[in-house]
Amino acid sequence: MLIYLPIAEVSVNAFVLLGLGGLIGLLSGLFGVGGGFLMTPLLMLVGIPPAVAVATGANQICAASFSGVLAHWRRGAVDFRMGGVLLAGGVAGSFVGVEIFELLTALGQVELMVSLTYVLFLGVVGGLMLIESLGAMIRARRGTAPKRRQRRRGWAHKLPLKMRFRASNLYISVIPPFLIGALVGLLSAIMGVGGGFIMVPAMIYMLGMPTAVVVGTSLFQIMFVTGVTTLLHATQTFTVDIALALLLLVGGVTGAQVGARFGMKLKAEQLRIGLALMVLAVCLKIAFDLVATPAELYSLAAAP
Amino acid sequence: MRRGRAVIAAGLCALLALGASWAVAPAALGQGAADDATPPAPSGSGAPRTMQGEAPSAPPGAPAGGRETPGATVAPGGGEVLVLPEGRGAPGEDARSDPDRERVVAALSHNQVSITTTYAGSEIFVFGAIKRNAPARTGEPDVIVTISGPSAPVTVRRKARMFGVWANNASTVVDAAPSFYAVASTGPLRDVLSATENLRHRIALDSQVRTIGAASDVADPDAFREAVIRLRRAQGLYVEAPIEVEVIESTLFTTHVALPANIVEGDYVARVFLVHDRQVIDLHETVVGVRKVGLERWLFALSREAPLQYGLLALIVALAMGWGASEVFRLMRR
Repeated sequence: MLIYLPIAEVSVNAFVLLGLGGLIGLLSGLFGVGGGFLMTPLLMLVGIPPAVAVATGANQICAASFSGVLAHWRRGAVDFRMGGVLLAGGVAGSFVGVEIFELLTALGQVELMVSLTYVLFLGVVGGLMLIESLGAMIRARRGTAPKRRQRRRGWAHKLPLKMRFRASNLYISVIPPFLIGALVGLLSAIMGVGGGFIMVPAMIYMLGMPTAVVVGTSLFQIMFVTGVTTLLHATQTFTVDIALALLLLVGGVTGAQVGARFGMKLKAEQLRIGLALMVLAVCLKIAFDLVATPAELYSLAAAP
Repeated sequence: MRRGRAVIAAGLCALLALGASWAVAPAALGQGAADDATPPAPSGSGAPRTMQGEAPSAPPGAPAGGRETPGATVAPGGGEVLVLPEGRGAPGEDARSDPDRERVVAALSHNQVSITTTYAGSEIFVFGAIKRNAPARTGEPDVIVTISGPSAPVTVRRKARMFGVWANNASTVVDAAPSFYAVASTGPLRDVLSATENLRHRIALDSQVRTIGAASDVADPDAFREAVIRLRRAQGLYVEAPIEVEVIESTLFTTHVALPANIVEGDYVARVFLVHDRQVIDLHETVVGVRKVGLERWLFALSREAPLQYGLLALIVALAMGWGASEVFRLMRR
C-alpha cells in the first residue's frame, strides 16, 4: 500500500515503513539504543530525502524511547537521578555540538566528517564491547566463578560533588556522568543520533552501572535529546514528516515493547555481544562506503 | 487502463462531432473560447492578424532576442492558448505566416491532479486534432507533447577520492532543471524536429536542464548537467517516449503521460507542438495544477505556517503512541 508523505513529497510503501519501525523499535527496547544510527541510513535507502530522514528519525526515536522507558520503569530499571545528570550534560554538549556543526557546514564536508566520526566511534565502542563481553562469556563457560565485578574505587569516587545514585547502587561524583552526557550531546548534535550506542558502554564501563539499569536510563536521556531535536528541526529546517513518523511509530513502539520483554530473558553478556556486533556491522558498512568506488559519483541537492 | 481508453474515446468523439472548432472541449481549453469571443485590443500599429481575429502572442518560452514582432501581445484573459510570433527571415517562417496554416487544438483528460494520502502516481491523457482551412499538406504531420513541472536550481556535487576515501569534491549549481519533464512524440526527436526549432522551444530533455552563463566553478559543467538528467531519469522524473504519440488519419492524435508518485506540487505546463517538415507550425499550451489536498494540504500548511505547533503536535503524537503501546502491552500481559 503506497502512502504519499506530505513533507518528504515521495510515495512509499506503508508496510515497508511499518516493518522498518518495528525492527528499529525491537533493537531499541533490546539494547537501549535509540537506533538513529540505523534508522537514518535505512530511511534514505527507501527513498526518503536525507534531511527528512534525520529529522523524522529523531521524532520516531523519541516515541520509541518513551515506550521503552515506561517498560523499564515498571520494573524499576531507570535511574532518574543519573538520567537527570546525564541530560544536563547532554544539553550543554549539544549546544557546543551545534556550533561545531555550523562551523563544519561553513567549511563544507559535513557529510565526510559525519561518516568519519561514525566509523571512529562505532569502531572503537563496538570493538571494545565485543572483546570485553566475549571475554566475560568465555570465563563463564570455563566455569570460572563469575567474578562479581569489583567496584573499582577509581577517579569517579575521588572527585568532589558526590551523589548517591540509589537505583544504580553507586555513590560517585556527578562530574563523570555530566561529562559523559556532554560528550554524547556533542556527538549527537554532530552525528544526528540519540547517542545511546556511546552512552550505554560508557555507563557500563566508565561509571560501573549495572547493565540492567543502564538500558532504561539511556532511553530516558535519549527521549529528551530527540524531543528537543524534533522541535529544532520542525521550527528551523521544516523537515519533520509527521505522517512518516506516525507510520514508523506504529511499528516502533510495538517493537520496543517486544524488545524490552525479550531483553529480560537474555543474559547481560549476550546483550552486550549483540549490541557490539550491530555497532561493528554499521561501522564496517560506512567504512566500506567511504573507501569503495561509488556507482554514482554525482549527487543532487536543492540549491540554497 | 480501461478508464483511460474511455477518456480517449470520449475525447475523440467530441472532437469529431464538433468538427474540431474552437468550441471543442471548452473546459480544457478554458480561455481559448473567451479569447475568441473578445477580440483583443490591437496594440502597436497594424498588428499582423493571422486568422479569426486573434492577435499573435508570444509564448513565454520563446527566446526574446530579436524575436518580438511589433504587435505581439498576450491575448487578454491569460496566455493559455498561444500563437507563435510572426518572426521574419528564419527558415520555415513562410509556412507560419500562411493564413491557411494548420492549427492544433488539444485537451487533457484532467487539468488538476490531487495529491491525496494514497496518491501513487497518475496518468494524463492528451488528445486533440489538427485544424485546417485548406486541404491537408502532403506528408504526415508530427506531434510532440511535453509536460514539465516547476523548475528550480539544483546543487550537483561530485565525489572524488581524497586520502583514500570518497568525498564530495567539486560542486556546481545547475540554474534551471524542471522537477519533472516528459516528452512524447510521433518519432525520434532528432528526425521529427530541426535543431533550430528544438533550441527555440526547448523541447528535448537536454535543452530543459541548463546552466545560465559561462561562469562556473568547475572545469566541466556539462558533466554536472548530464548528471542531473541521468539521476532524475533514474528516478522516473525525466521521461522520453519517442513514439508514444499516435496520429489517426493525419488529423487526430492521442498520447498519455504518466506522472510518477514522487512529484512535487506546482503548476505543470503541458505543450502540444504541431510539426511539419521538422518545423513547428503551431503550439498549444495549457496548465495542469498539481496540488496536495485534504490531510496532506493541512499538514504541509501547518508545518510551514506554524512550525512550533507542528513540532509540538509531532512530539505529542510520538509520546501518546509510546504511552499507548506501553499500556496496551501491559494489559495484554495480564
